[in-house]
Amino acid sequence: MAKHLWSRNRDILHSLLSLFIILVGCRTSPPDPLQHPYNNDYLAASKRIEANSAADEIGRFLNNISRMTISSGDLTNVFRVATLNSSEIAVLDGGTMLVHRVKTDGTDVAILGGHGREPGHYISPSDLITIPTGVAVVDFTTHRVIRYDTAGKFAGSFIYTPQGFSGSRILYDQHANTFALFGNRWKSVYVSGQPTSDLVHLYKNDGTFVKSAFEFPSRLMPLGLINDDAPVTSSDEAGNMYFMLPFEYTIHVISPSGSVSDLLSSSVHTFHAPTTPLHLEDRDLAKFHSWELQWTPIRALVIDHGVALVEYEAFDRLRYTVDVWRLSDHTKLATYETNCLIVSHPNEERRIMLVNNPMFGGTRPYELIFGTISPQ
Amino acid sequence: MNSSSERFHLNKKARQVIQIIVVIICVAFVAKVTLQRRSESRAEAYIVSDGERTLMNLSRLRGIPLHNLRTGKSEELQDRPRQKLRLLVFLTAADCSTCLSQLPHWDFLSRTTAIKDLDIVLIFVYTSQDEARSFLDAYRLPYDAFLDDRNLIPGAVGIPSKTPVSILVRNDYEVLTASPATNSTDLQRSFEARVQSIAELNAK
Repeated sequence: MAKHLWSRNRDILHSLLSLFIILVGCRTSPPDPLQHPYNNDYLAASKRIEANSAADEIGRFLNNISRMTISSGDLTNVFRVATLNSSEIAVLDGGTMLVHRVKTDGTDVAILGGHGREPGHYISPSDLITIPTGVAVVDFTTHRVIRYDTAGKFAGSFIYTPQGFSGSRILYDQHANTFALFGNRWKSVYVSGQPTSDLVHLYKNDGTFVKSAFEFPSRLMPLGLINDDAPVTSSDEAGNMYFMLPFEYTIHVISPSGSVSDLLSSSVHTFHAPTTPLHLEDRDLAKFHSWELQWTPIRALVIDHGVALVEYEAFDRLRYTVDVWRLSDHTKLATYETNCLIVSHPNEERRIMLVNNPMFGGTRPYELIFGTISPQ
Repeated sequence: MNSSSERFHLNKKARQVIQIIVVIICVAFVAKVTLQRRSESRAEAYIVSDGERTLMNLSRLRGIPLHNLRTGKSEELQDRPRQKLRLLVFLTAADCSTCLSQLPHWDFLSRTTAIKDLDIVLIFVYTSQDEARSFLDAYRLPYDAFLDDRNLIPGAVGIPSKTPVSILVRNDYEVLTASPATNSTDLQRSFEARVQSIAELNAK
């Protein structure tokens, strides 16, 4: 009788255990592309370049390298950095969509401005730049340029709504006191009644609109590249402003009068332009990253004393390839490989800032790398 | 009756008078609150946009000093004759992507003869004075324009996260129809048609 009871209970226990295993096993939900934006190809490429990190050639194109760890644990995607004052930098984090004030010893002091719709705040800060009075931030969503003084206080703003675009990049010409904003997302502007795809928009220091220039190349329209055209930008000590589209190996220069011309155009064998169209209809980030892996998007441009650094994401042996050019005779001086992305313009001491393998958690807590461009 | 019973009788009468006065005060108070509430509820609009529902109470515009961008003075929205209708447009100069597509509709409304008794009033929120001026200059908008320079409207009236919001009201802020921020031409035309028909009825 006792044996019979044990046998029955054992059967019940087995049934319950099987049910538990089935239930637990069934608790797998389909992956959410927005939660897991990196597909397997991208993650594999990331692992490969991390494994090769010992081969990083950053020390061959930068001198006086120093490193700074930011104390805040909130930063997840640092993509732009600018000098705020002699002891602080402004760090734009795409993860929190906030601009952090960070001391040069790495202490995260405070937030510059903050989230909000009122003047002095932002929703989607897309770039920032050092200006003589502090820092200027461009907001993609609220169509504003917001100025903060060197103490981090709000010091005025202007809107660029009437020009009908969303700003992805900002430059400042200290000689002419002119802002250049980059963006062409809107297809029509009521004020002119004409469709526009101009990419460059110039403003006086007080926000007065000057002119728009550089129509998006129509030959690139069929590939849908107008949806991924945030350029890389730089300026030089003479007040010239430069930009490159991510998918064309051409450096464009903006003259003080606002006209745009080509400065350097080359077919570099390590750079690959996109050949398949970009489709954004299904808003699938994993597909977008997969599409970007098929070519080598240009990620940074630095112009410094007649030398240009062009950095593109090759995912070759290392993540980025950096070409160094002498601008006077358009000679390519060298090519280097690195896992570090340039995230700033040169400061007054000609130092630039970089982030090691951004967005893959390679640097957490965040580490910034400083250095001056080596004479080639 | 002796004096104590007289005093008791008087006290009783006084108590009754007091009770009646209290009741009258209470009834008056309740009536006032009810009327006020009814008037307030007539001045309320639920704005639904992108799944967000915002209650806007236009009667609370009373007493809010606004910066008149035409005269440079600080003033409340002025009373108008009751037969006049006002299209209040709450907008933000900085994030007004949808304003661009709604501008032709405001133009159309302001030019339509059948609704000549309609005033279009722009009320800028979350906007600095420079930004509002830059917006008005760029679009050459001829309408009355006010700026909530003390940032009082979002707290008192309620502002949805997407602007512009267009609300057709009577002079006493009774809401007649409203439109959330939208890029849909169909929705904008439907709002336009509603405003026109209300204005035509109002003119008769």
